[in-house]
Amino acid sequence: MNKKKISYKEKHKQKREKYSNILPNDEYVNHVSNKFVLLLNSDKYFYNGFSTLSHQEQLTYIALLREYTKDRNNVRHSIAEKQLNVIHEKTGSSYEEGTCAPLFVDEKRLVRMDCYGSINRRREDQLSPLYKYFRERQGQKNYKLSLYDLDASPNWRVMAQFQSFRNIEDQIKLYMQKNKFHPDTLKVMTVSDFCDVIYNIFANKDAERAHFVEKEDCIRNRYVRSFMKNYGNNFRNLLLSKKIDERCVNSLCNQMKRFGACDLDGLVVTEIYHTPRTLKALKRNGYNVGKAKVGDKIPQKLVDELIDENKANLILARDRNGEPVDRYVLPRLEVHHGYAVKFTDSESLAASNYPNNLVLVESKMHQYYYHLFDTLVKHDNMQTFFSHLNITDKQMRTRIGFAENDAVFGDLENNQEFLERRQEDLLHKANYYECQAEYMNNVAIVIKKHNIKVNEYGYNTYNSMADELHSFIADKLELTEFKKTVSIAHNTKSR
Amino acid sequence: MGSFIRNLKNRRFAQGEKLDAESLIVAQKILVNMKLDFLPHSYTEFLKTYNGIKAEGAYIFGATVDDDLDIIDKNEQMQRPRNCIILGYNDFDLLVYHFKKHKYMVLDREDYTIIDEYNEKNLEDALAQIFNV
Repeated sequence: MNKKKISYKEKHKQKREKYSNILPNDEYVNHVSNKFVLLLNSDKYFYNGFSTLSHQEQLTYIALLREYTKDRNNVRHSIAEKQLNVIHEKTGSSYEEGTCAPLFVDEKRLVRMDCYGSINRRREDQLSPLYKYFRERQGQKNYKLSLYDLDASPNWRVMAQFQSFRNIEDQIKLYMQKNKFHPDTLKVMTVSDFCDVIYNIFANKDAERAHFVEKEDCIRNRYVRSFMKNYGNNFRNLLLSKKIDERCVNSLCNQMKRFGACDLDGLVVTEIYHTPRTLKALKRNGYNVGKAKVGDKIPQKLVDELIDENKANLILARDRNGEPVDRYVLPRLEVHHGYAVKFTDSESLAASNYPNNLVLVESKMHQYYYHLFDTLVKHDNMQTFFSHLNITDKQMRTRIGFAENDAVFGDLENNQEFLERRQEDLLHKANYYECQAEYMNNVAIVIKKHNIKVNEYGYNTYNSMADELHSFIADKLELTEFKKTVSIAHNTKSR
Repeated sequence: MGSFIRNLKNRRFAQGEKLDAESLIVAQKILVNMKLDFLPHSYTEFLKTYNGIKAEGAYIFGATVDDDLDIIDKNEQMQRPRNCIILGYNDFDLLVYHFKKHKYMVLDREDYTIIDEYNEKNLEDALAQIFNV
């Protein structure tokens, strides 16, 4: 705890001096410690040796193995591959490579928006020309609410694959009606246009971001709460088995259970039992502690009350020297998507944020293990080579280390609420390509119907978009109306 | 002061120590030695208010001795997209500064797909996206 404070300059000076002393003249393997060399040469009992390394050393060793596997000519290629497979197996993961059809950026954005329940403000240049056209003409006429048909909007159908967007449909329709948008606007709105509407409905003044789901109810926080509700005791026991101070464990578990937050930085570690200091501080601040005496358990109700009133410091947990206990002995947890977000279109896009696809992982493992194997090489717009580390054990809810028992397992999808949501999601499954084809067709029809002078409203944007998608979609679907309009626009332009 | 910084005040997070001129010079110098580039002006201005912040799996880096938030450590340790300085990350994405294009970019952590990009004056939009504020 009482580390000597050093300046930033000193920190990096020390680091660079340290590196310059150990920089080898030979191969990369000479950098690593004797332990690593021994491990590389062990075969049968490799995992036993690996388990004796510290967490940081394990991550470094894995990074080294990964380097070897990248070069097929390296003499250590085969042993590295073998050892990595053992590690993956022990941690319920598997390395996978192959080809896939990647998600479109819009789809990726939607997965994020759904997970956090929030969206960023869209810039004007991100909005479609037709949305801007109708926005300029809003307020000219009143339309009935029933005319705003979101099912007629191909891009809304892409968004409505997620329950969180379906839940705000009524607010979207009301906004469109209240602002007197022409009902045809919905047919030609892009995902960005809808984001603009959602932002306008939910954002606080000037905020960069709008939360359309209360922060504590977003999927990320809900997952943590639900995990703690169902498997909180197992998680608590796992942390205690690591000999972590019970006060830290209790405080983290309580925070996760109540707020769905596993953050350490805002965590106040509180005493479990009254100390002379807590009793004195509580009394001094007017709290009625009744007949409580030193050693009595502090009622959970009082702990929660103090946290809510931002007065948890009155019962702050302290070590023998009277210093606040170090909360950073707890693992820092982050949310990882078990199987890659880009491959989830097999069931539905919404499945990427399903509870059994989320895992709370220790942050360094998240960064230097789970994402170490990510590769995505695009061959063309439709075919992509990938490599990725998938979590094969769908029951794994959290993992804080490489030992087999450093995890908590459980099923968060086996309940009525989830099964109903999944059923609903399947009914709303949408194919992105088909929706874009329909959208482009709608653009053509609406331009014609409203007699919009295309060159004035950025028709070039549509041409460039068409260049990207048209060749693929047009081969598969008959888009006569769209093709006709594009060719008219080209001819008009060339004249 | 933009609304991102204002809205941060309603949120619990940890931050690096107050930025001093020397730390910023050290960071800039090492970044350039790493064949990266100087940090953009808008970012260094932000660091003067918050020298690195972290909460709920989201990180914005600074010139700080906190290892989780140190921009040098992180750019040395993490896999970096070409011509980019990593400025932060969350569960899904990286926040980078593309010093050839002079833009802030939010990139998919797995495959570096550009999720969104912002010009230098719109830094707070990028920060809000990563920090979910």
